[in-house]
Amino acid sequence: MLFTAHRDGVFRYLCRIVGQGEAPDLTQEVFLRVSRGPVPDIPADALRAWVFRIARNLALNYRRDTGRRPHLVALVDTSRAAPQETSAAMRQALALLAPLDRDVFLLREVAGLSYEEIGLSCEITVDAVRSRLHRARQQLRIVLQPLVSNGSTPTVRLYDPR
Amino acid sequence: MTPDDLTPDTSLSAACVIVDALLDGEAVDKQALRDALDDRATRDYFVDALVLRQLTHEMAPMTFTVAESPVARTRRPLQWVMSAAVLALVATGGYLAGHRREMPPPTADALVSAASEPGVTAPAPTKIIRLDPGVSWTTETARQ
Repeated sequence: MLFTAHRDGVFRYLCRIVGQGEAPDLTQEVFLRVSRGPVPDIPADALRAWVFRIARNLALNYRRDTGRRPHLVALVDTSRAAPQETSAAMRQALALLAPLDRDVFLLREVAGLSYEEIGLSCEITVDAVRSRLHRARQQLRIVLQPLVSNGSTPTVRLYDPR
Repeated sequence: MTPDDLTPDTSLSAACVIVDALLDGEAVDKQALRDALDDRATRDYFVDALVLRQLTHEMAPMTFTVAESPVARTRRPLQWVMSAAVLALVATGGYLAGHRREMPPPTADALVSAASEPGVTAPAPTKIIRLDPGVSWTTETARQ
């Protein structure tokens, strides 16, 4: 039940944190941990936050254990970036964010968690979520300025990732 | 470039709070949104945030798939081919071995020559007991 409801969100989040190669295994590990212990008797939103807290902790452990810190390398020329280069530029820009800002940003934009859920997952207040999310967006805007302003995405869509 | 080099104006203006809330599916006041979007910088921020969202989504797959390792992907067809080859080899070998050991069928000449050999004598005829109707084989006299 929890797996069906949250696997895609957890996977998307982990893909962008640890990379596409490790994300499937870590996703399965998240739900193994979920299944090992008793599921807390809490509302659905809080339950989602609980699952993502496990995912976040696993991702942090993974990065700590493997020592795979995001590489701070020179950014590609984002003004004329091909799709693969766009992804690379995005990864590099995310790597420049403070870890908690990055988590907040990804939990919102990729996993679609609400401010409250992100607050529960990261154990911070909703105001802190707002502030960090805004800061992450502003920093990404600056780093990816050419891509964001003149990139290969002439159209945008207002949709909620949830 | 390090996080310290990034020093955007991250102070939360009222306009940005409104735009962020709209982006994140929160309820916003209509008039406040109108006022916020009157500002060109806020409009730019709004559009850029949408582009960032799009770029973030395009980074990696959106649905959970158990990725198969490249080694496993190449090994699996090879295993099938190897299994099929071994099966074919065993079947062919078995057939050929069986074919070599098979005795030729007896010919008519061979039967005649065996019967006419001098050393071969026919076995003695067996004792024939006539079955007489009415005779009880269970009685003592009959057995004797």
